Amino acid sequence: MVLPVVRRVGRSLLVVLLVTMGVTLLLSLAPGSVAEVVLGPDATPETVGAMETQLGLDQPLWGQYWDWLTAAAQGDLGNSPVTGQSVSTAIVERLPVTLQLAAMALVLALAVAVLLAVASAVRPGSPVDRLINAVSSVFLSVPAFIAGPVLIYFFALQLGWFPVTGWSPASEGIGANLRGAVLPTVAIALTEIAAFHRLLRTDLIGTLGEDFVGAARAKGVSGTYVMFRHALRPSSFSLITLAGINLGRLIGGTVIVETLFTLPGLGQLLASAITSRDVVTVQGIVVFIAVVYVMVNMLVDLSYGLIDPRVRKAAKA
Amino acid sequence: MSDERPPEAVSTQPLLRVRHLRTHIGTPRGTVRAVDGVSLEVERDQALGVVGESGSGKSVMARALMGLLPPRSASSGEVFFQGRDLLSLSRKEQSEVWGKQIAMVFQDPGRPLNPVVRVERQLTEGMRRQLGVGRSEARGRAVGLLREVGVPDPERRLRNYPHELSGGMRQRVVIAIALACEPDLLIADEPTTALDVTVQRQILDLLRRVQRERSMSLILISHDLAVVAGRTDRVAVMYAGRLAETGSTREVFDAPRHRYTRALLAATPALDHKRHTPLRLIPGSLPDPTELPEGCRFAARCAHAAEECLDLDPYLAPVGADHHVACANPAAAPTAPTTLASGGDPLGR
Ligand SMILES: Nc1ncnc2c1ncn2[C@@H]1O[C@H](COP(=O)(O)OP(=O)(O)OP(=O)(O)O)[C@@H](O)[C@H]1O
Ligand code: SF4
Ligand SMILES: [Mg+2]
Repeated sequence: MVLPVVRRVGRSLLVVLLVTMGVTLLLSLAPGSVAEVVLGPDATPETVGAMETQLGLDQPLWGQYWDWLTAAAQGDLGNSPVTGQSVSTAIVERLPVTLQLAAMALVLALAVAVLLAVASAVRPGSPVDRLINAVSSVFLSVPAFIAGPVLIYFFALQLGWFPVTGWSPASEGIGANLRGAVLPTVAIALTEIAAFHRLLRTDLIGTLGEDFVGAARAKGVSGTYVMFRHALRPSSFSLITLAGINLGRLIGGTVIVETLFTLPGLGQLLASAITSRDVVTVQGIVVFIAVVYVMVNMLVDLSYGLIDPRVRKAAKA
Repeated sequence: MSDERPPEAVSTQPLLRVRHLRTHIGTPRGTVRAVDGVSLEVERDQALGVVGESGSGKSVMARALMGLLPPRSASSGEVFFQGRDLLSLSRKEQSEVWGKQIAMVFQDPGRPLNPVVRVERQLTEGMRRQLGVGRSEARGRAVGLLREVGVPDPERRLRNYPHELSGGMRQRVVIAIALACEPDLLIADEPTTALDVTVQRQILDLLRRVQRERSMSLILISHDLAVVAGRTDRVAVMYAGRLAETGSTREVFDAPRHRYTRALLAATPALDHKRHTPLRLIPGSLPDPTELPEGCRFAARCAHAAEECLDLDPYLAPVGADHHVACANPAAAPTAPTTLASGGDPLGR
C-alpha cells in the first residue's frame, strides 16, 4: 500500500512542477506585463520598468520561477502584484463559492443521471430509452455558455424565480444563497448529467446481462430492487472515476459559469488573474487545482474498495 | 393427444403438468424450435431427470417453465403448476411464483452470486420478500439453510462475499438460496458442470437428499445420464426439442426402448470415468433447430431407421405402466428381467 502512494505523490509533484513551469512560460510569451496592467495606460516606460524591477520581472525566467517555487515549497504562494492580497487568502476566500457550486452540481448530476440511466437500462432501445438518449445528446452538445443564458432568460428574466446574477453568501441566509446557486448549478450539471448517464447506462446494461442478476430476479424480488440493490453498485466503477475527475475539474473553478453569473469563485479569480498577467495568482491557483486533483483521485481509488470487496482483498494482499 | 382430464384427476393432479410446450426463438438464421411440443408431469415429492445432448433444448425448456423466456421468443402450450397455467401469468404473478413455488439453479452461470453483496443478503432477500420474515428471523433461517446444505461455520459464511468461498461452497450457497423460500419444485439445470468430480457428486447427492427430506419435487437436468441415474425417480430423455422417452428411471435405464436412449446409454462412460468429458456421444449431430426434418428427428443418426421413420413423426406412446416412447421402430423389450440384476444404481455413480 505504501509504495504506490509514494510513487503517486511523486508523480503528482512532477505534474505540479511541469504545469506551473508551463504556465510561467506561456504567460511570459503573451505581450504586456502585470506592471502595465497595474499602472494603467498612462504609465511611462520608466515607471513600468521600475515596477518590473521591483517585482523581479527583469530577472531571467527560470530565476523568477525558482524564486516562486522555493517560496511555494515553504507554503508561501506570494502576494498578487495587482491587488496586493496574499494569493492563499484570495483562494481561501473564493473557495466556498466554487466548492458549493461543484458539490451541488455533482450531487444533482449524479442523482439525475442515476435515475435516467436506470430508466434507460430497464429496456434498452425502448421509446423511453431513446427519448432519454436524445435529451442527453442535446445536453452533451450544449455548452454552459449557451445553457447559462437560456436558463437566465427563462427562469430569471421571464419567470423571475431566481436572481439573474450575483451571489449571496450562505452566512447571509441559506434561502437567498440557495436561490442564487440554483441556475449556475443547473448550468454546470447539464453536461455532467449527460456524460454520467451515457457511461452508467452502458455499464448497467452490461451488468443486467450478468448471471447473478437473472438469479436475483428468479428469487421473486422486484425489478426496482434488482436494479438498485444488485446492478447499480457493480456498474458504478467508471461513473465514480468520471465523477472524481469532474469534481476535480469543477473545484478548479467553473470559469464560464462563474463569469456568466458573476459569481465570486475561483474560476473568476483565475480568469481575472490571466487577463491582468498576474502570474503569481495564476500559479497559486494551478498548484491548488493540482493538489485537489491528486486528493480527489486518491478518494476515487479508495472508493473502489467500498464498491467492490474484491478490490479490498487485493489491496490487503 | 387430447388435453381432457378425467374429473377425479383434479384431486390427484400432479404438481407440474406440461402440455405441448413449445418455445420458438427468432434468430437471424431463422426460427429456432428449441422446445417443440414437450409434455411431461412431475408429481409431488418426486425427482425427474431430464437428459439429452447439448443443444437438445433442456435449458430453454427449464426456463420456459419458470416463464423466463429468451428475447424474441414465443411459447405456447400449457404449464400447469398447482392448477395454475404459468404461461398466462402476469409479470407480477410470476414473481410471486419464483422462489416460493418454483426455484431454479441455473446452468453453470459464471457468477450466480453477486460479487459485491454479502452471502447474508443474497440468502435472505428472497425470503424477506416472499415470506415476509423480518431481518433477524431471516438471518436465523439463513444459518439453518447453510447448515442444511453442508456449509460449515454458517454464521461466519453469512458475512463473506462470494469470492471468499470455494467453488463447491458457492454452489452450496446457490442451492441454499434456491431452497430459501421453501419451493415446491426445484429445477436444477446442470448444477455441477463447473465443479470437479468429487464435489460434483457431493452436490448431486445433496440435491437428492434435500429433495427427499423436504418432500419437494426436483427436476434435475443434465447431459450426463450417469448424473441422473441413481438420483431421480423418473427420467425424460430429450432430443431436438422433444421427448424421446419417459418413464421410471429404473425402467428407462434397464430396458430402454427408444433407439436414441439406447445409443446414449451405450456411449455413456462407465463409472469413475476420470475426466468429466461431455463426449460427442453418438456419431453425427443434432439436426439444425431452424430446419428440423420431417419424421423422426433422430433418423439421420439412427442405425435402425425404417421407411416410416422418415415420414411419420412418432409421438410418445405407452410401452409400460409408466414408460412412454416416441419411436416408430423401438427396440424390443428385454425378455429377461435384467432389472433385478442391476442393483441400486444402474451406472454405479
Ligand atoms: N437465447 C437464444 N437465442 C437463440 N437460440 C437459442 C437461445 N437459447 C438457446 N438457443 C438454442 O436453442 C437450442 C436449445 O438450447 P438449450 O440451451 O436449451 O440446450 P441444452 O439442452 O440446455 O444444451 P446444454 O446441454 O448445452 O445446456 C439450441 O439450438 C440453442 O442454440
Ligand atoms: S423412430 Fe425410427 S429413426 Fe427414430 S429413433 Fe426410432 S427407429 Fe430410429
Ligand atoms: Mg442447458
